[in-house]
Amino acid sequence: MLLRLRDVWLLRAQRQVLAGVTFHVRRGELVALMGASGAGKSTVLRVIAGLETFQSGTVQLEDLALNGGVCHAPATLRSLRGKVGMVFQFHHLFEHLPVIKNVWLAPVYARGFTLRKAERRARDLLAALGVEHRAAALPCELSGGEAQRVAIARALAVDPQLLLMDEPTASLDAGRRTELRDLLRGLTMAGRTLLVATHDEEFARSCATRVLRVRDGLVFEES
Amino acid sequence: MRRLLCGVSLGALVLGLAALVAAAVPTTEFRWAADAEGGAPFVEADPTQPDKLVGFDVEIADLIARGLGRQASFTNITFTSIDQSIERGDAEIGLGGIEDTPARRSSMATTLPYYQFREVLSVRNADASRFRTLADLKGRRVGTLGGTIAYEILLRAEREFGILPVSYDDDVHPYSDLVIGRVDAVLLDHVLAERRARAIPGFTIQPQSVAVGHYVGVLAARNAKLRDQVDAILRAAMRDGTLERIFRNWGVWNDDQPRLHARLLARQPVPAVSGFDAPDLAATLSGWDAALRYLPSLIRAAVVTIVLSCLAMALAVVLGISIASGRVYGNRLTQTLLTGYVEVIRGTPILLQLFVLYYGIANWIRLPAFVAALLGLALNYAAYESEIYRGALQAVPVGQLEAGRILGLTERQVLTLVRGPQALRLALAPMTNDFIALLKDSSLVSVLTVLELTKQTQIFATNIGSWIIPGLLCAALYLAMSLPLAALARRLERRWKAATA
Repeated sequence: MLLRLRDVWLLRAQRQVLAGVTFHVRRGELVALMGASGAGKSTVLRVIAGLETFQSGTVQLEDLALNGGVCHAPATLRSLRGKVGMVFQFHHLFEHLPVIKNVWLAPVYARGFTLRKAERRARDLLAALGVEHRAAALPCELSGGEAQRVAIARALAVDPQLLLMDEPTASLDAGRRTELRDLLRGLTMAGRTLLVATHDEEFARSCATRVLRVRDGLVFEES
Repeated sequence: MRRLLCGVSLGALVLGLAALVAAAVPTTEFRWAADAEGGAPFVEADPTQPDKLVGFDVEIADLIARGLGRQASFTNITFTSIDQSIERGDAEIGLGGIEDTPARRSSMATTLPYYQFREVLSVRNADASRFRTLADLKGRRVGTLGGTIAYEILLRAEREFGILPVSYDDDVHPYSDLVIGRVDAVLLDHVLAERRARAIPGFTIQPQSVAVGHYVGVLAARNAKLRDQVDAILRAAMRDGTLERIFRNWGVWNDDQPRLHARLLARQPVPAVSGFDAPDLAATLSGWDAALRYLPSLIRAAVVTIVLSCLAMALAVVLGISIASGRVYGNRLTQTLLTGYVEVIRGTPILLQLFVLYYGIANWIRLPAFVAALLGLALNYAAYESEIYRGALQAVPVGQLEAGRILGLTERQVLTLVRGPQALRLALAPMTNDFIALLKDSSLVSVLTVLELTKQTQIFATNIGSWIIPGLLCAALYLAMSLPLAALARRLERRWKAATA
């Protein structure tokens, strides 16, 4: 078991966003987290990524536990971020840096890779994702699809065991959506675990190994 | 009610118009001007009745007004701009220790010289035997009031003996700086020197005079007729001893005065300045010759301005970034202290801060003038810069920060690698704006004797008696500094614009 959430409750601005979320993700799975807008899909991902504190419950990622009711300790967050990566809905690429530097920044500064090694790896990742020709571009010069691939490359550059993706199809046309599906399948094939929040039924069915539904602050397993 | 209001406002209008008409009608007032900051014995506020002026120039103004059959009315005008102010008609005559110079004689209508003074050298008591003349002061700093004959003498001595002239805006600080060792001598007229010697102990006035000059009244060139009337009144006062009584009353009568009065009454010519090679004064040169003569010193002053501004801005940026980071990231105490700093600095005049740094703390820490100027500007601008950076830091989208955090960057790395660089791009335009403002605010440091571009221009203008050529040169030099800067900032902005779009 790679990830397990147990009875996670989250209250934000007087609103019960998560009301006892419990589910798990096994290694090598591609799990789709579905639900209407505002159902709390993104919040689940943010809780797992350590971007939100929650009132009670536990998030267990391998041997690492995040507990509700407390601020996460910096040391806990540091080791958490060695295990989990995230691709945001709006990518949040570093706007002031060219694509290649977006990708090698964290390996160099957070993981202590040499610049040479990090840059080579960044180029390999960009090539694998088909955007190596955009290495020198600034994020604002990219199309939606390119930006998403760069965001995936950036997340993979630090080699996380679990990759979280928030609405990856939101900015893609139908053709691009198929490409993305193949890409994500390839990633799971290579041994990565993915948890993808989406409201795109067709996309979820075509690529997920399992589908979870978020409703009324709870997560249900699709039968 | 409404009608009543109408009536009241109509009444007010009529009264206002009446006042305007009254102001436009020639009055029997004799408008004279001086700088009351000059103090005793010229013009000062009566210590027992601060709204009343006393001094020998006040009595001379009254004397002239009586002679004209009019009532004296005082206007305060800054000493250094008295000629320009008189020329544009703010008052009819300027008094208050106005020096007789060839420039004034040619560009204004000056009265006859009513008092003769000697330019004297003051040195610390311990130096009295070694610094007797300007020639003894090679390589030493000698202070005086900017824009005076004494300053011209020092510029001349700079070329001849290698002394270092230091220009002050007032006549108190040269002597207080002399006593604490910031300058090694002060050259000013004996009236100023003697009154300071009574208040500030520790310095000696050398008996040998460096030059001889005179005080005059100054009128606009078009008022030559009034000037002739004033001269007649002054001559009469010399003849009947009124002038002597006034000067004795203020303790400035000496043996030079009866000789001067005798020459004037005998209608003998009196040179504006003697004992100092007067034709060498820039004042006697034409505008363009003077400009050529002053250009090197203007350029030197411009270098001081740009070096001072660049260093002060660099320091202000570093401090500003630290303050902004402290206010965004620091604990409650740090935030409160830094907010307090920003509010105090922004809420008090920079001139006051400069005075405190240079003169206020001189008894404990004696900062050199340039260092005090640099620190004063930097500390002041740091407060403004910090607000720009604080706003810019807070304007960086939170998604950018979360993206950094999720990749495993520490908060410090998120700040230095992501938030800071992005904030800097947002801050560029307001920073450029501030730097250009600083370039011009740097002129304030002349109060700390730093001779920068505006001060040098002012000295130039005072000496040639016109602001036109010095003003144009000064503006050209400021633009030569600020325009490339603005262009550079625009280029950077264009390059970064894509990144922040």
